[in-house]
Amino acid sequence: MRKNTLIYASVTFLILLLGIFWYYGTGPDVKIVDMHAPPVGVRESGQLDMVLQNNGSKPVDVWLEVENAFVDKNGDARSTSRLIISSDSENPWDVELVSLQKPIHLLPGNNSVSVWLGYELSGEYPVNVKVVENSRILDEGTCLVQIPMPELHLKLEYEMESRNNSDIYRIYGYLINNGSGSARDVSTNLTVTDEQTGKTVLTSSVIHYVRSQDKTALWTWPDYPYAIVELAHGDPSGESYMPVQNVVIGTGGDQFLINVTSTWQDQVVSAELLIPSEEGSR
Amino acid sequence: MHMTKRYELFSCRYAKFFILLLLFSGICSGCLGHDPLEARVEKLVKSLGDEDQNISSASSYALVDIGEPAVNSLIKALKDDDPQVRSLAAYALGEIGDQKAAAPLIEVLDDPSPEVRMRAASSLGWLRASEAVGPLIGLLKDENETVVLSAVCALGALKDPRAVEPLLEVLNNDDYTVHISDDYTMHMDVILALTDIGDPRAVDPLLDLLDDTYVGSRAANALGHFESEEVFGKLTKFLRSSNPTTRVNAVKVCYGLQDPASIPYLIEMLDDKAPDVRKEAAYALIYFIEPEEVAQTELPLIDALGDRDPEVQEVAARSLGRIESKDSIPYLKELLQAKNQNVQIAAVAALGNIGDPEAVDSLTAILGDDSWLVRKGIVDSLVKIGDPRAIDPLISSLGDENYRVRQSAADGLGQLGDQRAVEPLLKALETEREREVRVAEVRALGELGGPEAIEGLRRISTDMEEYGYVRNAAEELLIKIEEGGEANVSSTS
Repeated sequence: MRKNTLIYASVTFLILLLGIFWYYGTGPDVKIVDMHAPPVGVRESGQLDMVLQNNGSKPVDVWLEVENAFVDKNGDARSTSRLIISSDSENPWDVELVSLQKPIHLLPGNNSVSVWLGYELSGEYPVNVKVVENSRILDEGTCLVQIPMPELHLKLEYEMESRNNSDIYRIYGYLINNGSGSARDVSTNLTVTDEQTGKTVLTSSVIHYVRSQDKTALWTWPDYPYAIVELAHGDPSGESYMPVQNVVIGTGGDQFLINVTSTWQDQVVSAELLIPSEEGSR
Repeated sequence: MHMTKRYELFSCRYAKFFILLLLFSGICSGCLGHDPLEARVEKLVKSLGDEDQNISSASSYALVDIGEPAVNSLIKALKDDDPQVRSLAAYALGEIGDQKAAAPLIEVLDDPSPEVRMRAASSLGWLRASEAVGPLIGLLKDENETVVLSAVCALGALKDPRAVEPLLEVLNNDDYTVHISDDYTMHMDVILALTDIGDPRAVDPLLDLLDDTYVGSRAANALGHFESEEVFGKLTKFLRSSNPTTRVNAVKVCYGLQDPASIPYLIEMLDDKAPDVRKEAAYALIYFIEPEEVAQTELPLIDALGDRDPEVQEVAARSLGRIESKDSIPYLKELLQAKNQNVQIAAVAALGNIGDPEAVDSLTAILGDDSWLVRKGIVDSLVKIGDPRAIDPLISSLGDENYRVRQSAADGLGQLGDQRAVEPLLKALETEREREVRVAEVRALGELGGPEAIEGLRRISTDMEEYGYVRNAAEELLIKIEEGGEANVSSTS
């Protein structure tokens, strides 16, 4: 009786071991051999490029579970919906956009796979990728993705033209980004203040987008300035200056402070011009 | 005794066998677990009925992404109680494009929900399911006009001649309200479907529509896709119709057919009493550019330059430019002084297309025109002509008040390749504010090359306060120049 029990227990244990080995030890041999993500701008789409190596002799279907590929402004990670499969061809357009709703098909050898990335805040994000087959994790890897900050500054300049009885100041400006991260939804406010009375005579606000290491003009219409200040030494010219919206009409003795302030997240930059002024700018 | 048996049952041989069985089934159930893809498909199909449209639509897109593995579940979903599920399933099946969905989709063409019938009809069109032609023809009598519209489009996609007569019946049916409220959508879609099918039986009914103010032009366009032998013989009657709308649309048919047999008719129509007909005839002649055709059309078009209607003059000038008529140059030069700006611009463009240096002085003389469109046209034409006398006017246009003129001048100076332009381009870059003009100037420097241009490009390529687009263009041009290749930077931003 005891002998029998011992045999049965041994057989059970052996079957259990075989089962565990079969279940956990015979999955396809797939490895993440490379992960790379260039810096991505805030609110811009980026890509995490990976090389998945299928060491088997047959194609294998695996699922990819990606964490932190999309992070919203509250820091919450969202699910990734699509990724790109490259055929490793030299043609950059020879890629397939597939859904993470289904397994991806890995051919024997190296397979290039890219995952879309997107972040609403700058910083550093660990993107974790799990290669899964039937609930078994075949391999796992993490790549730190940099979301650099923009470095904004403003530049104002003007041209003056005397016409009839008026001095017309045409003001131009640029929002310049010297940083490696782009800035979307930069709120740029213009305030024109009468220096004698301290009263604000004009305000306007526009949203800009500036790429990394680029600049964007503050004016809207080509060949038309951002703002115009007309100082009339008699009757004003009566010109509407359309399509320029930021127009201030003053008299010969007036002096106006032009202030432009741009705000992106917690970055605030400004520039000022005094019109008229011998130096031209402060 | 009874107790002993029970004890033996649970403690001995049977119990051990039972434990083994349990272990086996446990391992097997682990190994043969529910397929995660199947589970996902089931979940997504269930979500097709979600009240939140974002979720139900996103689920249908996800099922389309999954593709073939979702087809069976979607076919089952065509019988769901919820019409929203049936409708989105029908949509997804069409998008996936698996032929085994055709028969189940045909079955739901009589679904009580019009949305389901509409989606099923559209999907059958996408599937190119020829077995659906009969049922789709039946659907042309559906009480819901949107369903009829989907059936019309699907029949067009199937290109089956059996659909011609039923589609013509729809074309003759004036009971539909969609085409009145929505700009004749039904008629237009039927015309498109008939064009796709391309059956000659559609020619006569389409010709009969040429007098229609709303769909006549669409019918003309459709007729242009048929073979000329099937159409032109019957068209001549319409070219001579007493109705000017019919004549205009009949001329439009000639654009598509491009049959040289239509040339004498079109020339005759340059003298039509209706200006719209004369204009369309002048425009139609643009399509005949073979020397023997030009020999017929050139003089009548030159005569049309003197038409009393400026729109006819404009089109005639453009046609003469297109056929590169050298004989028309003196007449086109006269039109440079026309009061009508469009005529002036057409004459400028035509002289550029003809490309004869004889026009350079006349064009340069009006470079001070008030209209930037005229000035830009002149710059473009001077570049096309390519005469060295154009360099100075182009350099002076770098200072034009309009950025499009400055941009064209910079592009042109690059194309003409005269080294005299390097210094003015570098000077213009000192003050130019518009990004598109700056990049054109940079590209021109790249085309011209030489030590001064290279030095300028180097300066721009390292200026961190330059527009990124312009800096990158300068960088790319320098690399190409250094590699000894031809500098040519894409113009897309």
